[in-house]
Parts: sequence; structure tokens; C-alpha cells
Amino acid sequence: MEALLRRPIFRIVPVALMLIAFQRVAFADLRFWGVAPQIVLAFCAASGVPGGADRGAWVGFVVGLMFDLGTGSLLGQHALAYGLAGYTAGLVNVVAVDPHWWLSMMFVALGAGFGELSVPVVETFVSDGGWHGERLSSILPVVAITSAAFAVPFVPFSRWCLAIRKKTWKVPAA
Amino acid sequence: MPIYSVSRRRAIVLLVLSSVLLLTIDIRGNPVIDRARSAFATLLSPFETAGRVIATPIRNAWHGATDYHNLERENERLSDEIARQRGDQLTARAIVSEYQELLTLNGLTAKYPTVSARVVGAAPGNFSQTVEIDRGSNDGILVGMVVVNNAGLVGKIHAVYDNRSVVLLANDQEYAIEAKVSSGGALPTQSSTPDTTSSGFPDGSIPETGTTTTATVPYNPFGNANTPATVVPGTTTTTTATTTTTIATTPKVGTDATTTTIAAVQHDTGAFEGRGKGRLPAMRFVTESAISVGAVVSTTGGSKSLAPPDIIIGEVINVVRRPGSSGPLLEIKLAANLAQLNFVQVVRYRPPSEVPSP
Repeated sequence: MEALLRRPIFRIVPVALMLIAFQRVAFADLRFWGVAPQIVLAFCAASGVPGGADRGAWVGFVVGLMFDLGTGSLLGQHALAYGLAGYTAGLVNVVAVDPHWWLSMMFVALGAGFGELSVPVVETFVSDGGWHGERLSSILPVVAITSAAFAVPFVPFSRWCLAIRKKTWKVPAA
Repeated sequence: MPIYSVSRRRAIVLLVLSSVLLLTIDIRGNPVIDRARSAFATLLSPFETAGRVIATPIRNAWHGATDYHNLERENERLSDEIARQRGDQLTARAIVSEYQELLTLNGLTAKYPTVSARVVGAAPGNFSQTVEIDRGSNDGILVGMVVVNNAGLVGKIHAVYDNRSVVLLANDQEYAIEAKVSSGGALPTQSSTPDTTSSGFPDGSIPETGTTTTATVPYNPFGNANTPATVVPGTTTTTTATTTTTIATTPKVGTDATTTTIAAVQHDTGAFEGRGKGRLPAMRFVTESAISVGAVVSTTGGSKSLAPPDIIIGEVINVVRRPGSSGPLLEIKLAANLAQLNFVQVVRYRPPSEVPSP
């Protein structure tokens, strides 16, 4: 039972519920230049840094599905976008064996920016909403920068959610 | 693991295909997904309540820090506006009263049941313009019903759950509705000055004796008189409009017989569309080239329209003339302030074509 509760899914689901609730009641209203920071997206991107591209993509997919269910958007729209965010952050993370905190921030920013960009791309295909070209120039930097700021607590937090131990380096015995 | 591997590629392909499959199913409409959404909303509800308790002081502090000067300026501006509107309101009340009498006389009175709701959440994303309200299907709300506030049109119901609904705001790119533009009665603007001609109403006063002026105003079916039209009494207008409404006044007994001709109203219909945040909504497919800035835009109604007729949408603030047969593009300033919504009314109106026959 204890081992079951330590499985990542039992940690990710309640965490995602809390983050979606916060996004809806708090961050939808706290806007920078009219742009809402995307805390859920930041978490998905952050999970790609310790978990790698695969786990980042799956976390993004599951959390994105929950986001779609909670916000009434088309099911799969944010699942795809957030999955890509986690995947991107995990993919670029392979350039560093054990990235510094500032490097993790950059990876999360990149993943979040890519994920946010894919939302209107998907929307263009599936709904009547057109391309938000003019606004994207303000949305993407704000979302990327705020996600980078969220990366500081979210990277270790997502490591705990995914039950991944931090890498330790040992000097080989002489 | 290397950047490119078979298992990784398989995972991402599976993820993308699953998303596309879900999107396809949801676009076509699926009751299972709808039920899952309702269940998830119930599950999310306690988390939101807890989140609201934690977030409220943070939000207040944030708004206190960032919006203080704006609020101060807005407060001053609103004080001035209230003083000016006090007079307009009295005038409008008299006009609406007369207008409703006329409607009753002609058997045209149309009152629609409404459900008052509180706005409990804004759009969590950056691309869709929606708000969430605290009423749902348990209160008789259906998808497509129009949402208004005291100023005018706010949007329409986009999704309904048991005790909450999502409202698609009128400035969203997906929002569109049939509308008419009436060039005869402009909404009052801040720079407007009271008409003080002999048969007009000076600011803040209603004539007690003498002529009774009746004007055509955009009808508010919810009994509010917050959107008065500017009456231009004492003018005679010759027009070549498609629809012309001229109402003569009836003098009271014992006074000099006076006839007041009200400015004629030209109606033209078209499609009102939201264009996303940061861009003014617009009206297209308008053929009347005489439409000018300040013209009032309201819903047309009709057997298939989701909105009842004569709900105020806003006023024309820019006319973009376009070459060819495409007609002018009218940029609309919405009467309702969509950035600050607290309470709204859902109009429980269904178009005649959708009401099942007995």
C-alpha cells in the first residue's frame, strides 16, 4: 500500500488539481501586461527537466487532460500542448548532465514557451478562433519568463512527484 | 537515453495521436466526456475553494500595489460621469417609459426570464475570452443563451455544468451574432453636451408640462434604463434609409399644439464578431454606407437568433471603408465593460425555431 502511494501518479494528480485550482482562481487574475502566467504549464515543463523527455511528455499529457476537463476547453488541446512542453524541456535538458539552476530555468522557459505557442496552433485547426499573431509577441515572453521563475521551486517539486532521486556524484576510489 | 530513440519516438507519436483522437471525439460532442467534465468540476470544487481562500489576500495585495493609481483616476472619472449621467438617466427613464407604453399598446411587450449570476472566475488561459459564472443547468441555463449585464451584451453560454457555466465573451474570436446598427441614436459619450433647444431636455431635468416627447430608443428587455439614446428633438430629418421611424408627439390638453419630429433611425443588419483580446469587435456585411461613428449596435433577434431582439451591444467608434463590394467594417466599442464583470444575467430565451411545438 505504501509502495503504491509512492507511485508518481498518486502524487501528480493531487498536485495537478491544486495547480489547476490556483491557475483558475488566482493566476487568471494576476496578469502582467494583460498576460496570465501559466503555472500548470510551468509545472509540466519543469517535470521534463528531472524526468527527461518521455516522462515530461506523459506528465504534460495527464496534467493537460485534467486542465482540459477543468476549464472546459476541448479535450486534448492542452494535453497536447503541455505534453509538448514537457517533452521539449526534457529534450533540451540532455545537453547538460546535471544542469545548474539557471540552466534548468532556461529549459523550463523554452518548454513553456513552446507549449504556449502550440495552444493557438491547435486552436487554429480545431476551432473558429483565428491566429493570435499580434498578441503572441507579448504572451510568449511573459509566459516563458514567469515559467522560468516558477522553475526554481517546481524542478525539485516535480522531482519529488516523479519519485526521482537527485543525482549524486561519487569520486571513484583510487 | 539518446535524443532520438525508437521508444522515445513511439511515446511522442502515441501522445500526439491520443490528443488528436480526443480532440476529434470532443469536437463531435460526446456525452461521456461531458459527464467526465461535470464529475471533474465537482472534484475540483473543494480545491478551488481552498485556493480562493489562500489566493484572495495575495490577489488583493497585488491589485492594491499595481492598480492603486488607476483606481484613483477611475474613481475621479466615474464621479464626473455619474454627475453627467444623472441627468441623462432621468431623461432616459421618461423615454423608456413612453416607449414601453407604445409597445404594450401594440402588443409587442417582450419580457424574458433571467437568471442572475455571479462571475467567479476568469479565463485561465491567454487565448480564449471566457468567464465562469456560478449558475448552471440546475437553474435552467442552456448552451447558447445570451448573457447580459446592466450595460448590455456580455456574451453567450459556452458550456454548462450542474452548478456553473462558462460564458464566451463577446470579444472572443469565436463569438458572432446577427446585429443591427441604428444610426439615429448614439449612446451618450463623455464629451456630449446636453441639448438645450426649446423642446429638448436640459441636463438633469424632465419637462413637467408642455410637450411629451417620444423617441425610438434601443429597447432594453430587462427593464433597465441604463442605455439611453441621445434624443435630438427639434430637428427634421429627411432620409433615404431602408427603415425610417418617425414618431410624432401628442400634446397635453391645455397646451399649445406642438409637433416634434425625432431624428429618423436608419437600421442596417450585419454580423457582429469578436476579434480577440486587444482588438475591437467588428461588424461586417453592412451595406449602408451612411452609417457613422456613434451609431448604436444591438441584436436583431429573429426566429433563429440565439439572442432576443434589441439587446444593446455597443456603439460604432470607427468605420473602415473598404473597396469593392465587401462593404464597410464597423469597429464597435462594447457597452459592457468585459474587463470588470461582477454580476451578469443569463437571459433564458430560446429562439422560436428551437422551442418544441406543443
